[in-house]
This record gives sequence, C-alpha cells and structure tokens, in this order.
Amino acid sequence: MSWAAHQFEIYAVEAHLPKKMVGQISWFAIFFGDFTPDFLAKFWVYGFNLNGHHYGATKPYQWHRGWPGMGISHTLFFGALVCLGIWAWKHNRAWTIGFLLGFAAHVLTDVNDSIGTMLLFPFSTLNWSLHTWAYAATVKGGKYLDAAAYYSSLGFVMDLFWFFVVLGSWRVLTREFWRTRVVPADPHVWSWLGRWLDERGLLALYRGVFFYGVCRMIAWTTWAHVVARPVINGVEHHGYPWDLSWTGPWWVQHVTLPQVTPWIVLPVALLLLGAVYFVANTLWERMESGSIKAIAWRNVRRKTT
Amino acid sequence: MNCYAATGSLLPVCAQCVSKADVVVGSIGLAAFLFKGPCEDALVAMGLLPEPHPLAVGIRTVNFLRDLDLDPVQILGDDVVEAVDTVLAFPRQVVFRRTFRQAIALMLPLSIRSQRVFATK
Repeated sequence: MSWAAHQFEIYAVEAHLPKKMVGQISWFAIFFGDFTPDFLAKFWVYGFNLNGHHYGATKPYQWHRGWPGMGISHTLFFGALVCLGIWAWKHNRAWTIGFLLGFAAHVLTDVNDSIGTMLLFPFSTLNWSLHTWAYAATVKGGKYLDAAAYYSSLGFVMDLFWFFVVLGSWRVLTREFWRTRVVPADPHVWSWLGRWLDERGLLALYRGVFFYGVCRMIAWTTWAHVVARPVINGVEHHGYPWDLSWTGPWWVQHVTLPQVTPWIVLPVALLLLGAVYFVANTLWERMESGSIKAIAWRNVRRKTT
Repeated sequence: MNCYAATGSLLPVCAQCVSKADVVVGSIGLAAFLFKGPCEDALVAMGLLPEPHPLAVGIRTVNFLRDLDLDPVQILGDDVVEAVDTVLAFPRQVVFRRTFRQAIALMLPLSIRSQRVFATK
C-alpha cells in the first residue's frame, strides 16, 4: 500500500487535468475518489483490540486486495460503478469525473506493492503487482510494522516522487490557483463551507491534505529510523534497516496472492491510466447537462417554479 | 522475529486508534450528509427552523464568489445570477415566524391548544 503518496497524488491529478477540464473538476471529488478504496477496506486490515482480543482480518492482504475480500474496493470496475451512482444521483460531471480520476490514481498507485490490485476485475481475479516494495500489513505488526516497512523501502521513494511532482506543480498550492481553478469547479460546496470558515480557513482546508501527507511522511520516517528499536532475528537495531532494493525491505515476511507476471503490469497499468483519461475526455462533452452552470440553473428553476 | 516492536513510550495502540480516525470521521460525515436534508425538512415542518429561501444556495454562492473577486456569471451562468440579483433587489417581506419557545409550546399539551395555534398565526 501507499501512504502519503495518496495525499500527494490528489494535487498531482488536480494540477494535470486535461485542458478542457481545468477549473471544472471538483477537488473534493478527486479527494474522495482517492480516499474511498482505503476508507472501505482498511479499517478491518489493521483491526482493533478490545479487552485483549484482536478484531480484524486474519489475512489482512487477502481482505485488503483479494477476492474474496474487499479487494473489489481497489478495482477500476468498482470505481466505475460508484461513478455511475454519483451521476445517477447528482447528475454532476465535476464530481463524477473527479471521483473517477481520484479513484483510478489510488488503484494504479497500489499496484506497486507486492500484493497489487485486481486491475481487470471482474474479468479476472488475479492481482497485478510490480513488487516495488513489500506489502507489510500484518495482524501482529499492525500499523507500526506496516509504516516501518513502507518508509524503509522504495515506498519512501514513491512518497518522495509524488511529493516532488506536487512541488514541481507548486502553483496548485497557491491561493490564486485555489481561487481561480478549484473554487469555480465546486462553488456550492466551497460557499457552504464558507459559512463557517473565512478565506484563509478554506485555503488551509484545501492545503491541509498536502500538509497532512508531508507530516505523516516525516513523522513515520523519523519514527522508523530514529525512534524505533526493533529486534530483527534476535538483534536489536537502532531504527529499522533501510532497504531500497526492489521488493524490499528484506526483514518483513513476503506475502502474495495469485498474480499475473510482473512484466506486463507496468504497460497494462499505463494503458489503463490512458484509458481512464480517454473515457473521461470522451464523456466530458456528453455530460454537458451535468455542468456547474446547468446544475445551478436547474436548481433555480426547480425551486422557483 | 520481533521486528515490529515499538519503543516503550509509544504504545502500538496509539497509531492503531489514530488510523481509524479517518474512517470514523468519514462515516460521521457521510451519515450527516445523507440525513442532513431530511432532518432539516423535518425541523422546518415542526416550525423549529425557518423555511429556507428557495434561492438560498444560489444567493450564498453568488455572494461567496463575489467576495473572492470572481465573476459568478462565468461560473454559474447569467440566468442564475440574474435570478439571484432580482431576489436581492426585492427582498421578501419579513413575515411572522414562531420562536423556538412558541414552537416547543405548540407541541406540548399544556394549555388550550386551539387558542395557541390560532394566536400564533
């Protein structure tokens, strides 16, 4: 799984929207699209302890990404279903397409760990994984071991990559970008929030997810390499050992699910990313009835007639 | 292998609990979003909340956009802005509305109901 990368990629998607969608895709929709897969699946992955008993998945990786399990929450098929639901319910293209892009970003980023995601579900229940780093959510290790493994492996590099992608598009974090590109795409939601927050508060809210990502990246990396004193194979270490090799770190048990060969994963993932953008682009014009202007006018007509 | 051992001062339960915060907050937010409309309608029907202006959302959004120096016509369309501006130019008359105390009293069978119902209209 990815950690802060999921926070950073929201801004990366926002900054790299197709030209005709600039200023028209809801940032909240991208956020919720990116948030939904783990919102649905992750609670039970780590589980919780109550009165000395652990409640949670017995095989976290199977539950999180497998079938049977909640692996369906990490499939493009499920994302498309939710988008259909959003369109049927709200008839809002800024939210429908935004959710699709955010969801796809999450699903495609998660192919990097050793479990991967079921990219072609429901046609195939095989997982697609690049094995860039080891999936490390376990019943006993919980969040701590997972964080330590991620921030000792190429997962850390992945977070840094997305961090620099956002920094490379630094304008996405400016007040001017928020005012002229983000607010116009979702004016009703921002004005609703504006009942309680002034402009600075709204801007802080918008930047908050990026700030949260930076904080968790720094905090967990510091914890894993400065604070923690793990005992690995009977030897106490000052911090978890770094392992920036492919499939690292070496000190966690590697778990896998039935998978396709890793060699075809990257081209297929890129192909699917292109397909998502193509579909979004194609549908955009046809969803004109769900534009911000059309929705605003529909609301006025409905309320005044 | 005990490679997940935490340090003495940081109990594993801390992060385990914090990691649930997003799900808990998200669930509460989703529930609030789903039930907000019906709850508001019920409160309006009970007289506890004033009836919202039909163009309340439009008015709020247009004013918000103008506060940010954005042109609402470009974002919402001229029809919507025109309707909002018309409403703002001719505000509705202030009509009598029950207070919260009156609305509560109306629901409680404490005095002569027929008198109270008509007296408040």
